[in-house]
Amino acid sequence: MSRIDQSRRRFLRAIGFGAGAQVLLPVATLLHSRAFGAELPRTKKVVFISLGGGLPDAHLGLSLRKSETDWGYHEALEPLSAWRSKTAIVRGLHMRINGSQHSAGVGLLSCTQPLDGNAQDGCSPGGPTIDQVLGAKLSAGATLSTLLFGIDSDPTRFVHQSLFASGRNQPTPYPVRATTLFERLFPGSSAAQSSSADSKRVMGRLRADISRLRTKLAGEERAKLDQYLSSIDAFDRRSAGINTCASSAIAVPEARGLVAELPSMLDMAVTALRCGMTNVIGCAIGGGNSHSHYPALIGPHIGTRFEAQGYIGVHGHDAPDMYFDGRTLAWRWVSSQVANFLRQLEAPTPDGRRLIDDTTLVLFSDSGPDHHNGNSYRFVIIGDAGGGLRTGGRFLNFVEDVYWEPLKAGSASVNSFMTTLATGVGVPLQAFGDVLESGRSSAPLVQLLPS
Amino acid sequence: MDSPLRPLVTAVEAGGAEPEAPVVCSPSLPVLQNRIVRLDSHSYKTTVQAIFNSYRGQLDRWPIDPPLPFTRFNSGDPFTTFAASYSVNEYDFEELLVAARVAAEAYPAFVVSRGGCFKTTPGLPACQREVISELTTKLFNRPASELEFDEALTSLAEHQAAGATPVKAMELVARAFLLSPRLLFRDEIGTAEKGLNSYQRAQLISFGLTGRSPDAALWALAGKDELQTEAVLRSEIRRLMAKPESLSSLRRFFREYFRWGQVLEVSKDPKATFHQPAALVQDIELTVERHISLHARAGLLRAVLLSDEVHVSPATAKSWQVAENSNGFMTLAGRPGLMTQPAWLAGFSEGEHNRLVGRGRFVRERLLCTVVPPLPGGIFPNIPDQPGLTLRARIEQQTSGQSCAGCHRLMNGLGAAFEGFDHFGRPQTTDNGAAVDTSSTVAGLGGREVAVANPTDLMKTLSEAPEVHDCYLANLFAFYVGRTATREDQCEITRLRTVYRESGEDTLAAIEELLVWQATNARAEVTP
Repeated sequence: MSRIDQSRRRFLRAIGFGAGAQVLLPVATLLHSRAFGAELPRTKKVVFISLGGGLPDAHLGLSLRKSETDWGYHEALEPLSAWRSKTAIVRGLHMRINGSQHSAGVGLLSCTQPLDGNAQDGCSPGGPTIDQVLGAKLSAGATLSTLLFGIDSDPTRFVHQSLFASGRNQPTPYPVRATTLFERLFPGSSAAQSSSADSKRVMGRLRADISRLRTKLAGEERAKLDQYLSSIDAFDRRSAGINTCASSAIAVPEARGLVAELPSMLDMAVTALRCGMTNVIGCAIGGGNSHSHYPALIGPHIGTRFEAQGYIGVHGHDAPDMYFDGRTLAWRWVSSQVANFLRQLEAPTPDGRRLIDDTTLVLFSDSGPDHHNGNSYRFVIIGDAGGGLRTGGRFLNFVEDVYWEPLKAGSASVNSFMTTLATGVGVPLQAFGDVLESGRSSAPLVQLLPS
Repeated sequence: MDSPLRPLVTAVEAGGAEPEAPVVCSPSLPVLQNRIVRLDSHSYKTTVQAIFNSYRGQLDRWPIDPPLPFTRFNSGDPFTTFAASYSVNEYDFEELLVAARVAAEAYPAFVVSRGGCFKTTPGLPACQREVISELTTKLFNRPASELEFDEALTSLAEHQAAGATPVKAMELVARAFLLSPRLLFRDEIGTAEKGLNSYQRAQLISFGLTGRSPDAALWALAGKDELQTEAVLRSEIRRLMAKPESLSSLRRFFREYFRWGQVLEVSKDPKATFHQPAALVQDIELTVERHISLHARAGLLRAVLLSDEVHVSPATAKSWQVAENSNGFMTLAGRPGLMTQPAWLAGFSEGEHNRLVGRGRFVRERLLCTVVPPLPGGIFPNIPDQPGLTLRARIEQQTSGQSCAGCHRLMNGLGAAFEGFDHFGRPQTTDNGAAVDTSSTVAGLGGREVAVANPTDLMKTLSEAPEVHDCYLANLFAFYVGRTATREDQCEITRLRTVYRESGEDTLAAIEELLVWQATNARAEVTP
């Protein structure tokens, strides 16, 4: 993979996109009026952030929950307590994805079974993930339908694919280095080659070529060509959108790793939202099999029981106390970064509004509650999508199903969570995904929608 | 619980017991859908290189060295041939753009060197047609249609009208060809009457077997439409299989089937300098090559599972625990088959100990096509370090409880047989201060339990188990068709099994059947 990723960097250089990592690389400062929403209606924005390795009940604060509205934060998520009134914790959602030993992979956000192989190891997706579905609607006309990124444990990897998919059989890669993300978002000033008249004529021919072959095919085969067209369109949009976005300086670290890179990547995501480059963000921290992809947390380990070891890992096969202590520290650190992200969204825009008022952030783990995935998922929602979702400081605890037992009354599916979220942010869905037991509904959860 | 590969095997076995209506088998029944097959990185490279072979003889590398597209795979897919079902995502496209630009920039120089028609004289239709014909032939592996000529000539004219020099115009046309879906996707769009045409058939068997465009002989037969005759088609397949050991597809199949490449990713103690993963991979690949050359026509799977003929190099002698000046093929008793080679054993281990359960799981899932359910949540499968107890004993202690045993009985017995080797793949008689025991009971083989004493015993048992051969065929199907078999493929699977058994376990015959089936089967035309 490293060779591919290096190739990508060479590509970026070849077409003049950026020169690689620099400290405090200034972003071009052409202000774009769209950036602050002066001209466009306030579109809902959705942010997905996943941390691999599990979000256990303890860290979710289950033991502190007395009722739907009487609950407390475990120290792991405590940095998010400032947004309690905008928060809904949703626990006990059921879904059974094949091969989800250490991650449900693209199965989680697509609610589809992988076509082949193991979900945790980067399977062929069974359908589009919810971020892509929402991006197609909410980001229509924007430079990027979704802005995806993540952090991976492999220091040689620049791009990874484990959590997002644009369609059946089509996983969506995403950058896992801050520098790569930066190049993707702010490619510099010389897009001339890709947007030249010569290139436009070539692309015109190419589009006609694809369209002609497309007419001979149907179904999934046609979809392959549709994706090819989409890729060309996305590239064109990015080329056209170069340097139309405003930003102050963004720190792009030379160093690799979770602590060095995630804050910078989240800053870029804030900029992308503020500039209207996209309205949907996806961030996968250690997405996929955590044994292969979970990044070490170095820095916050100092002064903890992990100091001698030199890092905080996933510790899924260590003793339970190692795992839970590691989870606490990891989630607390990630929550702090999410809190910083949310604070930036609270800054007023020139029209006097705040991005956070239109934003819904969904925090979760792609391996559900544990290092080893069960059949129960949980999501922390922050933001009510301008009233589209009924959050209000609630902890919804659905009855947990067990996959080998009949469905229980009061239980709910992950599919329903996805349709609820979509509906709440203005993309009404009544059904989503195909992983659904007989008798199970994927209709939106009324508990989370305004009555 | 069955793997994606297993259902077709069990479905065939079950026959009428399947709840759905039985599949009617008829050679003329179209079961394959029209599809387009995306090239992988290697195929793209060799195809593009071909345009530079036209004028100056064989060129064995890119004109320069651009990044190659299509090197990403869904790592959960069982085989890289599943790229057939992939498309071109944004990252692929970016890499593709660079590759196309680099190749296109180099291309006119070849044309110019041939006669200079684009260099000096705009609008020499005959010359332009010749170049376009050359591009189409090499890149799309078929003659250009009149429409393609017209479009390319129009395109040339447009570029020149916009101010491009003739050379630049040719470069831009070449770039469009190099990005064309007709290059990136091999088309298997056939008809209900004839299946695929001769050019499509030539591509299918050539890319399928060699990963390259059709050679001159195949091209000539396709030009005369002679590949429509099954006998000719089979003859060509056999010609390409004449030296099975050089059949890149079969070597790749075994590499991906047994996954020994994992050894390159397992971190071992750097002080263990005798451990040379790359050399171990070379050993196992040379061994496989030899097995293919000797056994491809009879009993290849048995050889792969059982043969104790191995390749050892001086760099790996310590891993094999043989004389340090060893170099070449030798027989090593107690090393039956690929899975007792250091490359495989070290690849299926952790940094400091064996992966007993992981090895067992591999055998269960890959060789027996059965899926082991995932570990439930809330379980911490750590193996406590207890002096005087072997890894096996500690695992058995941990997994003997009722909640664990159901799944672990499917893995532990299979994995225990390999405990006679350490995590570097060296023989061991003790582990953690206790004597190693390689005897075990293997559950679920033909519905029965089988006692095995050691790896040789296990490999013998596996090599004789019909379900292992069925699973092998299911994997061959997945690899050579580029997808998992479905219920609609049952007839072909049944036929494949018959051919394989009646031919004395001839792997090449099975592959030939798979290719002929794909080439000749009537294609279900789906109305777009």
